[in-house]
Amino acid sequence: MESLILHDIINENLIKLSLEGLTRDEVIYELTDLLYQNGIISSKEIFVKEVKKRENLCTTGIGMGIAIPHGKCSCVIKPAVAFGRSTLGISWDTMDGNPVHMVFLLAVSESGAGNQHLQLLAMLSRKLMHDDFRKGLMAAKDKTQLLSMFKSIFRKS
Amino acid sequence: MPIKIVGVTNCPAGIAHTYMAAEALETEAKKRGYQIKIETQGSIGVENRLSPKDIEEADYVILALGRGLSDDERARFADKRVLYVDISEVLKNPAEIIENLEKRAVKFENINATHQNQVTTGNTKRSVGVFGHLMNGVSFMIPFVTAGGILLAISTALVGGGKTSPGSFAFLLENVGVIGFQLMIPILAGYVAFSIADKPALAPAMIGAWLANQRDVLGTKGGAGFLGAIAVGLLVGYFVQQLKSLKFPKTMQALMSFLIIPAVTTLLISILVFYILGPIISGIMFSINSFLNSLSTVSKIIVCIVIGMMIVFDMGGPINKAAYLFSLGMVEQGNALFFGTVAITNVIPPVALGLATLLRPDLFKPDEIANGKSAVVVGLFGITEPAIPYAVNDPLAVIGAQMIAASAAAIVGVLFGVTRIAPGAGILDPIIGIAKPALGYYTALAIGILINVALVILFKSIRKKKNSGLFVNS
Repeated sequence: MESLILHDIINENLIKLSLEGLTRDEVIYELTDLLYQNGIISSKEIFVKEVKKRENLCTTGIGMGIAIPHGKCSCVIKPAVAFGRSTLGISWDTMDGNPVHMVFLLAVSESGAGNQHLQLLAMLSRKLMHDDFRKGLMAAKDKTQLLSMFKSIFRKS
Repeated sequence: MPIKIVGVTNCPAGIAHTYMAAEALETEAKKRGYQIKIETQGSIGVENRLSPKDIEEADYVILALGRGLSDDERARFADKRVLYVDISEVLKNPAEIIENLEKRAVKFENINATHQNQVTTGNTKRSVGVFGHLMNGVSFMIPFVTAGGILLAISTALVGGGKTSPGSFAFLLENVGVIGFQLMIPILAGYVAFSIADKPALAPAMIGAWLANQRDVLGTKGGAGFLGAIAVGLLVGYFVQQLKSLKFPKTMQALMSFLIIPAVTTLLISILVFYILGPIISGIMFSINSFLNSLSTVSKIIVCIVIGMMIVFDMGGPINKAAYLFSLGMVEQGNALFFGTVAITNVIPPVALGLATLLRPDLFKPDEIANGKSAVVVGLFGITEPAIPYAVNDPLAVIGAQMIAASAAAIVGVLFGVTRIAPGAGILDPIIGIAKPALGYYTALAIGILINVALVILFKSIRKKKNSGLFVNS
């Protein structure tokens, strides 16, 4: 059951091991595209606008090489995460001034539907605060390894 | 006894920061052997809610907030030693927060005053700006125009362009269509004002805009149309917003929003419209309209080229919206030529870019190619958004090509006299009867798309040649 929900939220189609973009906006577009192609959102333009609005309120580049841009909007069909890594680093106005290497683009629907999905996103956010989890994500060789890291979200830390 | 800490975290979206901050504080506190309980106020709702007993027993309270806390909620922590921080500070350095808790936490009543402003600044989610308010009005208005326009088109088709005879079905459709068009004015004004100042502003703005469009009442040559609606909507909206911020005695407050504000504002806006605004704006509208109607074909072409270029320039951005709104407003004034240009040029970019990816995949990125087919299909039905990623990746070549193509299509459109009376659905417009003539519409569209495809491929090949030998993907 839990792994089914996990599969809804993140799966290999929503992962990019090596992002092409080098700036915040490029990467937001790149990952938004993944969401769109996988039927998570109904409009790229509206979603990107929402994400940028949130980003401009206060950066989601929380430091430690991580950014978690997110958009909550009626254009989200079902909640999900797109994940991308960049070894080069992405220029982002981050809290610690360092470039971003891992981006989680969260899409959440306006209606608040899919409470379990939101719970999962919350658990993921918590997990990201742990050193070993972040290192593991960066070191993972392929999508299978990454997905098994994500599965560990369910194990109590 | 270990030190006991309680806290609350929240953030604007309530999706990620709330939980990250909670986790960071918990981890740091546990490292030091403290007891900690953090209430998370996220989009799932409030979790791990602090009980009065938790708060009672706590030595310190940490409020890590991204969207403020209501007075009621803050009252829970009366007399406690509280540390107020911005949630981003917690994410930056959670260890520092826990370590300096003793130094930084202050008794609750002291912080009440100093943090008042901080709490209100957290509530700026409605700062959308004039443009946002206008777009809110437009989004409510469009269904009226679409519904009215389609019925009107059916009615015209039924009588073959002639006059409808009273009592007939075509007569019914015609009148319903006209009602839709008449309502678009008050709806636009009403929802611009509603977006600024909520419910109390709706009625005065709708009534004011309706009045501004009644040339018989005003004694003017024409109505104030969409310009009048925008003016009334903005004026009423900001006026009501000011009124609402005034302090009134409690007994009156209950009556304010549904009685006093609407009545007083309606009276004031009506006087303003009747004596000043109405005559001025309807004068402006009348002269714009007669000027546009008197234009020679050449001048009409120039106006339409400008509109066409604006439509494709930022695809859904402010420039596009300005051209769209102007053209739609002119329809209400009885001049549908400009909206005809919009109908044609809207379709060109996504279809042309999609076709270009099919013809020359070597010039596009993998994502762009993957999107190509859907861009063509979706684009044909009048949705321009699929073109945006292409423009973002390569603005000069993509936007340059489509602006030239849109100009050409606009010229052909004017020569054929292509008009559209309501927002529609791309290539379906001539079929449902809102865009005419069909031949002109499709010819202009085909020419525009052809030119756009050719130019995009040309520009991108030139670029590619220049860059060959260099590192391309930068």
